[in-house]
This record gives sequence, structure tokens and C-alpha cells, in this order.
Amino acid sequence: MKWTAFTFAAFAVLGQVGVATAKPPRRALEISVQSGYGHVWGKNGDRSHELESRNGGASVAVGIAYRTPYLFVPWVEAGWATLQWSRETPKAREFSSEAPSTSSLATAYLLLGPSVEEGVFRFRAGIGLYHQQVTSTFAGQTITPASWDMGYYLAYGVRVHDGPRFGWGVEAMGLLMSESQLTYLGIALRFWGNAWAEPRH
Amino acid sequence: MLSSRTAVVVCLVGSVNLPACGLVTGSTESVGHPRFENGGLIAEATPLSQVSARLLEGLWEPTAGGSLLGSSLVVQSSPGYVSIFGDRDATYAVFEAGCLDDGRLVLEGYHRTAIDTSTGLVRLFVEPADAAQAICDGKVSDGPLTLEGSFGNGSGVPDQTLALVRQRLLLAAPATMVIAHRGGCRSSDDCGASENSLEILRMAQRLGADRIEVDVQVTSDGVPILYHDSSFGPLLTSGRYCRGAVSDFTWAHVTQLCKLRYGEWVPRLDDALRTVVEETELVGLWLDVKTPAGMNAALPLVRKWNQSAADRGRNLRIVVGLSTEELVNAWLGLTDIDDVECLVETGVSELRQTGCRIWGPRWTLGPMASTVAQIQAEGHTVAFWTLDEEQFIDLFIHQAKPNGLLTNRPGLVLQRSYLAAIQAEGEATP
Repeated sequence: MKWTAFTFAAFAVLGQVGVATAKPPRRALEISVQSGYGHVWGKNGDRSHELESRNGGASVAVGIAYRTPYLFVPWVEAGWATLQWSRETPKAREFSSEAPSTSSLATAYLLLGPSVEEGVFRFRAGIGLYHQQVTSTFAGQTITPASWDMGYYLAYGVRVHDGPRFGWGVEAMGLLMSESQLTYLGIALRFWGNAWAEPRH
Repeated sequence: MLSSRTAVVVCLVGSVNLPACGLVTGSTESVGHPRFENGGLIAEATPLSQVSARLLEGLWEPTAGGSLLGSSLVVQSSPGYVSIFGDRDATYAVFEAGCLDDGRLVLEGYHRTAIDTSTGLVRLFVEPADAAQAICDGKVSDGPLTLEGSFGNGSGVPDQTLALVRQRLLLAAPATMVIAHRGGCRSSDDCGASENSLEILRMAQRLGADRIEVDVQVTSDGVPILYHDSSFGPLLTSGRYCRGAVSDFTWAHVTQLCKLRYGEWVPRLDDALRTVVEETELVGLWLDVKTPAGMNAALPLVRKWNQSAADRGRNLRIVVGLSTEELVNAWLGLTDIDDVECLVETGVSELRQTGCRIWGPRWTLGPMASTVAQIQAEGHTVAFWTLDEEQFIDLFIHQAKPNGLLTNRPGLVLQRSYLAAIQAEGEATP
């Protein structure tokens, strides 16, 4: 709950700043980059042999949104997020003499959907594909299996600065991977530039 | 507007229970079997011998509590266990049985409804007392035999009356081979162990099977393992890094990163065959090899464990399933395979071409009664896959008259098979 309260408080303050400085274009093709940090919730399986681990990590994304004077703003985004990392002692007796394994899980994603704008706030909902990538080294070999998953994306952001050419803001984001039942919740800084814009008169 | 947005964000940020937010689909929760507190009465009883357990076998009718299992119940024993198979929602019950110091013969275990996740404890006593004592002594009891006790829900104390009376003995063997799918049942059927695990192989006879089918995939370093899908994923396995093509994993990585849904190890085919040969009385094993590489990796192990079974005097047939044209062609390209039995799942022409003795058509092709009769007349065995619903099981048993059925509900197929045989026996008797 502390995390929730902090997020809403931060957004309220940043929203006020955004309102004070905003002079956005009427229509624009936004090209954005964002970088953030998040935490993962989901089933972990057997962790009894874990020596150390990291949950979640950095995320990066690039996206395109078509901003209109109306309520809905379509967008598409491609990104990457680190989900898990750990080092574990061997689990099977036949490999008990081996060194600990080192494994990581990350996901690349391609998502699209609509967003709803209200003042300086923007709520985005999306659907798309997650490409889950494992890298694991154990018993002298490294494997890199991968799998596809479908999922959703939800984000709630505020524009701190929204000029005619450039802007930046903060966004709380959730990557929801359906079959894997993993959810990455994070907060990200978002920068955008208008590749094309129709000024507000 | 704002309140609905807030609800979504609170659901996301403020709650870790995302399925409760309706945003995550599918369930991978497992259904465990309830157990009696402190081991129940069985903990103090002398385990019933297999000879004695066989004396309980037969066709039974409920006189009370019929809503649990249905009517026409088949009671059958397997090493260490006694099972009851009913037709109401494919419900079955599995018991341990033992003789108490006071002369009573007690059965304690659980019931399980196959169509949902219902389960509960069951405790039954053999009556009358002199019959119980006779069975404990391994002697046939001539008089009427009843099972009286109670059943409950979940891990609650059994509090609903259940009483059964034996109507008749079973036939020597069921008329239809009961082949359990994926080693016993699918993980999604929640039989108490994961599909294609060593645990489910040990359980298969308790569930009503006399034969099993298992799936074979191969790791990147050539180790054949029991696993159905071509990729590891959360529906069948646990482990945060257990995802991706099986053929991308080494055997070492499988042991390190993957467990099956109920927490079991992913077994090697070698370990699975050892378990079947050394720890069960199953009489048939259908290897559903998924790739030519899997077939090639499996063949030496089939030979090894066929020999081991023969050395032990076991009546066990290990059969290699050919489910695709690619596998049929790979099989035809092999030499020196006369000592290995095969099963063709594709067409009749491939069956004749390969010389395999068993045909395994999918049930959605229909009963094909005349084709089945013709193939059987040529000396082949026919086993349809995969039938789970009572009306279709009955339809195929009565119309197609196959030699076997592959199923996720072996207890139901066993019960329907016995009833069909008894019905046929009655019709044949003037």
C-alpha cells in the first residue's frame, strides 16, 4: 500500500507541474523512448537451492503514438524487460558435484492498443506478444531457450513537460504475461518527440 | 471515469493477487488427496495381502450413499490398494486396506470425481465380521459381503453414510484393454500426480488401468524423457526458467530448471521403464514418441527393458507408437527392428506397410465397426484414442468392439467394459 500511495502522490504533484507548463500540439505523431525499473510477481517454483537472486530489473521501450484532440490515442510499443536472475546449487543428485547454475529470464515484447487522455494524464491499455528468453549456464553448458506468450499491458502516466516539439513524463506500467502468469510492475521515465505535429491555435 | 481508472491501477499496483483482478487466465493449481489425521486406522492395521484384497473384487451396488459413486460399482485390487470405480461423474475411490487387532477389516482412502475437483475421505468396514476375518486370513467368504462406512468432503471427517453390497464376482479380466493416457491421466485431470511422472506410473493401476501410454521427447544431448509437449511451459511444469523448446534443454538443465506440476522430477525414459518393470504389474506400455530422434533414442531402452521384463517373468509388452507419416517413414527406414513391437496411429495402409500389430485410430474418426472387424480378422489389435465420456465409451465398446481404449479416465472405461462384458454374458446365456 505504501507503494500505491507513493505512486499516486507523485503523480498528483507531477500532474500539477504538467498542467502549469503544458502547451501541447493539437495533433502529433509521437516517437517515444522510455526506461524504467520494476518488480515481478508470479510463481517461482522450487527455490530451495537458491544462493542469490534478483527479482525484476530494468526495462526499456520505444514506441509510436498518434495524438489527437479526441479522447483516444492509438499507440504501438516494442520493449524489453529483465524479469529474474538467480544462482542455484545443483538440484539433482547426479549433478551434485557441478558448480551452481546461473539463470536469467527476460522478455521482449510488441504491444499495441488505445490510450485515453484526460488533462496531463494518459491511461494506456494494450495487448500483444511477449517473447520470453531464458539464459542458463549449468554443468558446463549454456542454453538459451525461448518461448512466446500472449499478454496485456496497462500503464498510467503523467506528462511533466509537454512542449510543441519535445516532452517528458513518468509512467507506472504493468506487463501481464498470460500463460506464464508473470506480472512485471514498474515505473518508467518517458521522453518523446513529435515527428510531425499540428500546432494548437 | 476516474474511479474506474483508479480501480484498474489499484488492482495492478496494490494487489499481488492478479488472478483476482481477472487479468490472468488459466489455472495451474493442483488438487491433492486428503489424508486421515495421524494416518487413520490403517496406521495401526496389518496391511491386507494382495491375495486377500482380490477377495473383495466384484460388481457392487450401493444401498446407501449412492449419490457419491453411482450404481454398478467395480471393485478391483492392485498391489497395496483397493479401488472402487463408479459411473456417476466418473467418480472413483482408492483405498489402503488392513486388518485391525479387533478382527475388523478396514478400507481407508479418498474419493475423487473426475469431472471436477471434488474429493474427500472415505472409511469403510467389511461386514459381516466373520467374512472380514476370513478375508484377512486369505480365505474365500461364501456368504453375502458388504462394505459399510462413511465418506466426507475435502479433509473433513467422513460423516455421510456409504454402504455397498456385492452382487457378483468379476470376470477373469476386462474385455477391453484399459490404457491410461499420459501414464495415468493428464495433469489437468488432477489425479494426484503429474502426467508422465514416475508417480503417476505407480498410480495407474489404482486408477483402473492395466496398460499405459506415455510421451517421449528428447533433450538436446540426446536423453529421451517423458514429456508431452514440444516445449516446456507453466501449464505442465513449474520453475521460472523452465520454458522453451525441450530440444533446447540439456538433461542437466532439465533437472536444474524444471519440475512437473505436482513437484515431481521430469523422468528419463530409462527411469520410467525401470519403474514400470520393477514397481508395477502393468502389462502394456505404449510409447508415444514425438520425433524420429525420440524413436531412435528410445529403441535401445525398449530392448533393454523388454529383456529385463522377460527375465523377471513379467507379461509386459512395450510398444513404439508411430503417430505421424514422418515417424512411419523413419520406422520403415530402420533395420533390425523385428524384435520391437510397433503401433500405427495413422491409416490402415501404413499399418499393413509397417507390419505393426496394433492400430490406434483416433476416436473422432468414429467407431468404423466394419474396418475394425476386418483389421482384427487380419490378426491386428485395435485401440482407439482418447475416450473419456461415458456415452462415447459405451458407443465404441458396443459398436466397434475394439481391443482397447486409451483414456484419461481409466476407472470409467474399466467399469463400462466390465458392464458390457457382463451384459454380453447375460445375452449369451439362454
